[in-house]
Amino acid sequence: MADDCIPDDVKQFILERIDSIAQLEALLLLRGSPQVDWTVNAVAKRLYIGEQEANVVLKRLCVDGFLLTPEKSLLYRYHVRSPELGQTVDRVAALYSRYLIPVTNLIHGKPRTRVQEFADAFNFKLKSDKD
Amino acid sequence: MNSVILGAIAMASMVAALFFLRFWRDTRDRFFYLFAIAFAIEGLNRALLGLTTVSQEHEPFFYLVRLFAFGLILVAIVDKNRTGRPRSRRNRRTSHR
Amino acid sequence: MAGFIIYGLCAMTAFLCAWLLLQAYRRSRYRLLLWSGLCFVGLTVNNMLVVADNAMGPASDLSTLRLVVGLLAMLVLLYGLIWDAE
Repeated sequence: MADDCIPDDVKQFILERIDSIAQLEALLLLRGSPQVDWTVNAVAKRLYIGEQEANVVLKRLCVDGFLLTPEKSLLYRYHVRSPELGQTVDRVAALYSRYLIPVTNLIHGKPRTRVQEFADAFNFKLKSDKD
Repeated sequence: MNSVILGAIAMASMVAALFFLRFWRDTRDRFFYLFAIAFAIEGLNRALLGLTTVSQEHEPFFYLVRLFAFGLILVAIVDKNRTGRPRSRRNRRTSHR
Repeated sequence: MAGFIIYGLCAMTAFLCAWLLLQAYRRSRYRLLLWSGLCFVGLTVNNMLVVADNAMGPASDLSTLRLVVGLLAMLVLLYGLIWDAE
């Protein structure tokens, strides 16, 4: 019952793009202040995670098109690759604030490594509508 | 020359098979197990090809072995689509709502 | 004749794998999908070259080319498995 509150496309997005709660929190943290450039240390302190974990999380978000690093500095700023992506993040933010436990469960239900995505590539049923 | 390349391909296939075995151990998804076997068989196939002196791909033995290896890959794909993700906790959680 | 059909089938299977992996890479940008997709592209070409080699008769010998393509495909896959499997 609780899983029904997350729409399928958002569920797919979370499963594909969000690997951990720390990553989601970092994304939403930077989204909350889009004019600010964050250091890794500042993010780590705010999220109560180690600096190394924060570094990995921010790098990944940057590669995935959620953040950018202005002028090759070591800072990160919220900047989505496309308006559609921004809208999806907005929906995720709204859902996370309303349905904290289901979203958390969804993320924690994912396997620890990404290699499952290799096998999932062959699953036609997991294909999203945006194909 | 060709036997050297065949040997290299055989070795690479066996290493790939080992990686897929590790992924199977990590995820318990039998998809990876089937890929591991497929690549291991292909590796052995290439090694055997390398041991023969004449280009032998059209000997029935070799192309039947390759058919078996690629057939396993197809089995893996079909199996994945029949059962989804066999041991996913997420699937189990949603299936009884 | 049976060889043609079987290597043709292998080429199609490899093409299907390449297609699925590269599509998935397009969506998620997980690099292992790119390398393994490219590996299967190479294996598709490798199998097609076996068919072509035999179709062109005894005068042609594409064996070294075929094998180099096959080896490159496997090396790309190994690179991906070692560096980008996460």
